[in-house]
Amino acid sequence: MNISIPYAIRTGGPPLLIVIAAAVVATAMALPLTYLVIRTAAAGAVAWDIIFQWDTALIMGRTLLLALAVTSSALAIALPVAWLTVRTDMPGRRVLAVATTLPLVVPSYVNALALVSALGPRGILQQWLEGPFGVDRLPDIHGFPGAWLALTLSTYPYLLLSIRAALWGMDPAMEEASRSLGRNAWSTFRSATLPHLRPAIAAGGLLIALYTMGDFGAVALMSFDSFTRVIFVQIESSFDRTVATALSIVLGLFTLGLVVAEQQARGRASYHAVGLGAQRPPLTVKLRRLRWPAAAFCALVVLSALGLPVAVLLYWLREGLAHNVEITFPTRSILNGVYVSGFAALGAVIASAPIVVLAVRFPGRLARIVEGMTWTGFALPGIVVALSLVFFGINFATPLYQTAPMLMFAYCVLFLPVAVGAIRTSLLQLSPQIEESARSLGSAPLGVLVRVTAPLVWPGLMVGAALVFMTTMKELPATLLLAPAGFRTLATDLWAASAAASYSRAAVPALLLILVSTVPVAILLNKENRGR
Amino acid sequence: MRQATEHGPILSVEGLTKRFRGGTLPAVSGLSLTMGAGETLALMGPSGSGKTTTLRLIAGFETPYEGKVSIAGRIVAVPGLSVPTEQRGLGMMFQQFALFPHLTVEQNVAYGLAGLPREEKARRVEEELRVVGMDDFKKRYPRQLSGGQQQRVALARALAPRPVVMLMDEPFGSLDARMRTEMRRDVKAVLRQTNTTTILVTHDKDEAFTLADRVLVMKDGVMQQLDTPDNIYHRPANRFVAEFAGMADFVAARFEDGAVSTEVGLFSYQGPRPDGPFDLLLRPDTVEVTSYPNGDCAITGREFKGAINLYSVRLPSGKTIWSAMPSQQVHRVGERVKVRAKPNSIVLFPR
Repeated sequence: MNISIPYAIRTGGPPLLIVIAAAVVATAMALPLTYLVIRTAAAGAVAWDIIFQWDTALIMGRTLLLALAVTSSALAIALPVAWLTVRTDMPGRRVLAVATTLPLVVPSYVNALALVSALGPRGILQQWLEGPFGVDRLPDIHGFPGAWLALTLSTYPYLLLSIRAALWGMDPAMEEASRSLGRNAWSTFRSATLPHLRPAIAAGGLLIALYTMGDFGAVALMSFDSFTRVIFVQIESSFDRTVATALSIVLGLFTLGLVVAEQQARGRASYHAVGLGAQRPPLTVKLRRLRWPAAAFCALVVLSALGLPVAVLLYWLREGLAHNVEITFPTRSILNGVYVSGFAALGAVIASAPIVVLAVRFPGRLARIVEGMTWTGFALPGIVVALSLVFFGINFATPLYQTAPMLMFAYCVLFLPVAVGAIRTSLLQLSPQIEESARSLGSAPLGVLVRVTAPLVWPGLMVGAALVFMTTMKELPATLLLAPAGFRTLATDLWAASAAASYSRAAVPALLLILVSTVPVAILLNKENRGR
Repeated sequence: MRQATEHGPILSVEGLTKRFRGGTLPAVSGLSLTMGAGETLALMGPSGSGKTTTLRLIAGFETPYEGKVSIAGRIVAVPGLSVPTEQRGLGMMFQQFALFPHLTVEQNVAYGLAGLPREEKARRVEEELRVVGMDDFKKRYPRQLSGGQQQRVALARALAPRPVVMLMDEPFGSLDARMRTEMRRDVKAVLRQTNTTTILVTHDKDEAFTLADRVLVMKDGVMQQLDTPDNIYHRPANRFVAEFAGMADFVAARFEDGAVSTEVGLFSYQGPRPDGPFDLLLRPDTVEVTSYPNGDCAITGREFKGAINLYSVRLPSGKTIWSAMPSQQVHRVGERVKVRAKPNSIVLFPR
């Protein structure tokens, strides 16, 4: 028997329009890696030979070693700093809590520039020592030590933020239970607090490892031959791009594998605070005579990661002005950056909307696959995405090759996850019951979207757009490879000046980049504060 | 009621006062109590009454502003000096149980037994889990257990190190009503069996009455009464305790020929006479109604509670009081009745 109900519509499952939009976005995001794989497969035996070369293994080893070293040293800084600023009576801990996250504003290549220009050959330190002591050489900072130091100083705040969030979210009763069972403060930290922090450490550590493996600017300035630098040198110096492609594939698959493995591990061990979370303040550990040394340690971290680079850059700026080096304010580069970053932000926000709606309101297999595909941008290093688009542009989209739209597309692929993350949070906070109550009051779905959902999600959209905008302003490798001829941004200005060892000229874009980065960091810190 | 044994009190608190920075009134003010071995004491009061702060002072998570705390004859806290929690020999149970999510049931229970040799530890874990009936769940993780099961594990974990005093902070607050009743009964049995001295914080009078040998009622940081559950209910020290401990009515009373006279009856009374006008405390379960067509009282409402019928009755003066009658005794609203009160003890409060 056929049942017919007037005005009834089929229910269940997401609207077709959203599914199609999400599928288009996801396909576009997955395009670079797919194309790279196809190219490598087409190259056949030649590519395989390169992948299984001893040299490739060496590059892999160097890259992994750097990632491991940076992640461990970042943890060695972030864990004590997080604990000291949240759980102890360290003097000035409120100020230090903010100050220790501020180094986020220093992009890794700016840190590298500061280190090289301060400690490298013909750097500040050597010049100072030459006068009175006749020192004409210092141990070279280039290579592994420089890259390690620069990346550690720029990335430890990522771990700090995630560990601190976990410390705040922990049920204070956990530590109280441990103390009541006879464990002292140290044993409690080791056996109750640390296991609770493990997921946060894994997530933050993964972020730093990915950042290190994908970072181009710092390793290039330090002339450390990790994957990204070798790939870049190959692209610049050789017409045959098979080597660059093959190496990109290895790096891309590796970072992608790392992300997938972490996701799997997290799925199995999901233990968060059960219940209402922290309602009363957690126990405060009294440091007694270690109070001041602890504060000094935190202050030293801020000084090395933020104070040092800013001071060095200001020194070079003053030197340049004193010696009449031609220093111009890079208006053109700033405008270029605003133009491409603005469109990238707009594109990323629009593209993330169907993904977020699907993931939050219609969770399931389809949503998981679509969302997973957009995360390739998070896992793939900028240079790998850029390289694949170079090929794609040359072979299939010649009119678009080395144009601004192509560059904007690359940015969208790279930074879509940033937008998805921000918008997703704000939609998650919006209870479906609010939308349902609007429906029950007679609003049609579109009306609900316009009158209820959009105004409530708006702040999240703005945060997402701002984060993508600021991140794009700093982007280096994709910009170098894909920008139209003569198209300059602050990042490429800095790159050109430091390649010419003209530190005074590099100082202006570097300082401006730090300034630009303060906005997303302010947003992040503000969010952290509200999360408490 | 067990009082201090010849070994002295297990726990003693003297003139305990706690002020928080920025607070104008002390959170706890001049609190004193002593507890004997095996005794269970309930700290009862509305939220903000200082009961949890008192517990945390005893636990050592807060330090006193004035007064002192002794456990098993040893002073553990005076202003400015405090023995760390882990050295006080306590067991604690929390509202959300606070089981370590990264450890199995077995490892959770073993957590407080760090110093013991391996076989001894295994034996103790086995023993404690058997006491709470969780020995079949040793290898499970907390997230694989129901609320009641998690609570049993939390109890076993707290008992395993053989604490001198057990502290419980609203331990049944996150369980549903049926599970709560069952767990109360079981926890009480285990505490009896292990002869554990226990302090329980609760805002629920049923919980306090079921579990405790004595109940300490607090309001605004000040102790209102410390007595057996029966006395807290039938002989409350003031109106606040009377109302917090159950449904209460206060009817106008006066002295007449050496007895207390009210509109629900005349009661003989030997105690001290309050100055000025006063009221008599009535509990619904001591007020009886019977059908009486010519009576001057009337039923104004009925709440069916299952085991009992709770009636509101209008007295001749216009005052309405409660009466609890068996479930079979049904009166309709508006029916004329006769009211008789049979209070356990005559409790008078100045008006």
